[in-house]
Amino acid sequence: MNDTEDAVRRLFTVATQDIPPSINLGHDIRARSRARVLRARVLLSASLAAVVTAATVITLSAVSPPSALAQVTQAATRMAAQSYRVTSTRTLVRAPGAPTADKNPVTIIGEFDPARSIGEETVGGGAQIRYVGGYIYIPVFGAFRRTHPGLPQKWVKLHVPPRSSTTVTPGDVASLGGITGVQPFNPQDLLALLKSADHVREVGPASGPGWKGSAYSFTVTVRTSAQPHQVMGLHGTVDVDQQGRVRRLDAVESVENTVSKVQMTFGNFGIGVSVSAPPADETVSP
Amino acid sequence: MRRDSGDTDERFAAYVRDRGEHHLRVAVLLTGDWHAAEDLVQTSLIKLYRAWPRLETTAEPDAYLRRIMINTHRSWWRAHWRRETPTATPPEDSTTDDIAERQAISAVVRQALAKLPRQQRAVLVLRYAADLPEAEIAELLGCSPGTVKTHAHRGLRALRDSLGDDFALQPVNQPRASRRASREGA
Repeated sequence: MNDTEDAVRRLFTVATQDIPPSINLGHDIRARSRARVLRARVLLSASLAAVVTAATVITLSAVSPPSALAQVTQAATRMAAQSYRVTSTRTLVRAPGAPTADKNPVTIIGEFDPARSIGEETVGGGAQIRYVGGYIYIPVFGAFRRTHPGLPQKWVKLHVPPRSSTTVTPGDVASLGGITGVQPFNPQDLLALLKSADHVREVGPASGPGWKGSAYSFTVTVRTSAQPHQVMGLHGTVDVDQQGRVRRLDAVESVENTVSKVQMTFGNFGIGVSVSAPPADETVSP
Repeated sequence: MRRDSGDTDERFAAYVRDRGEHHLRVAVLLTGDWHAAEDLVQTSLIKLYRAWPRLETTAEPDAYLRRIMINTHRSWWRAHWRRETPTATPPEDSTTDDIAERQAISAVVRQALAKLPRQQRAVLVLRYAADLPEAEIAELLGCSPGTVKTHAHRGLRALRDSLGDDFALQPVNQPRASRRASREGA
């Protein structure tokens, strides 16, 4: 066995060690196999029968509960209609060349009222970012100040283009849960990400302080169209409470050889949010 | 001689217990995602269960299931029923760096595999995860052993290019500090 083959075998061993505990292969194999046969026989009988009554059809067919994907996207849609508080922590797990110190988590605490297009978040207990009426206000950062020496203003005003709830960009994945330098975190991006998710399935019950609900696993993949082509993946669980609201998100984001962990909790639904734009004389637009 | 119908379910259950995880690991390398892998293996097990009473006692269920999985995966891929998503698995336990690093590596490797053309990926997985000989892989995929060799050669090269330094991963039972030192070329 040569070194290359040896290396591949080791890689495959490592790549298959993290089996999720929720997977249960033997579950219901026999019942599902028999159910398939039974359904086939029933359909055959119905087609041969002279008359199939509506009552029979109702009896034979089950009223399907909303799919897992529908549950998750409905929950994400509800977030766009009510105010909430969010705590988000983003941790760099692994990146080529990143020393351990760079892996410290970044926590953002924010309050948002999507219906009124306002929100505010504090990054790492320090910098404050405001969202007001389609604009985002960021404290003037070092790089900007260096290119604009002597600038008296304190805030940079940037336009936030209306986002599609169905189009997901690599920036949406990269910025989820924290400031990444690509674009500031906006919890509304969560809606678009969850709507584009696939492999959504309910994996078990979920609960938190004052709420109970269900946990759903999901994956999102975004491929950049421009060079260098990249594949950005997001895989995790989202918890939805019994009122159909997103309560928690735990996900791992992978971009090439960089892996980050994102944890978000949502609560205080209906909270009063009061945010105003900074004074115009303290604001500069690039 | 056919299998005794009286203990069909027992034998099948025992087979799933003994070999299910092995096929699940192969499936996740094919699909790139644990839940798609679960789908693939369960769908294949349902088909195997229905054929189980007809299998001759000398038949090897692994080979039978493998064929079902490969054919099912191929039909899903062609029909786009299952979009293969290179994904990362959320850390089960984020309290130790070793676990986080291992899961990060898992994600990267599966992602790199998922970028390969389907046939190259299938050959690498069947050769180096399922440890099948080239002749058997050729029969499963409906191609010649020569084609299997070509796919393996190209797939290994593409995987090496994709993973870069991570390709030469040290054995997983090597202490973490020395693994890192090895990777950093110390």
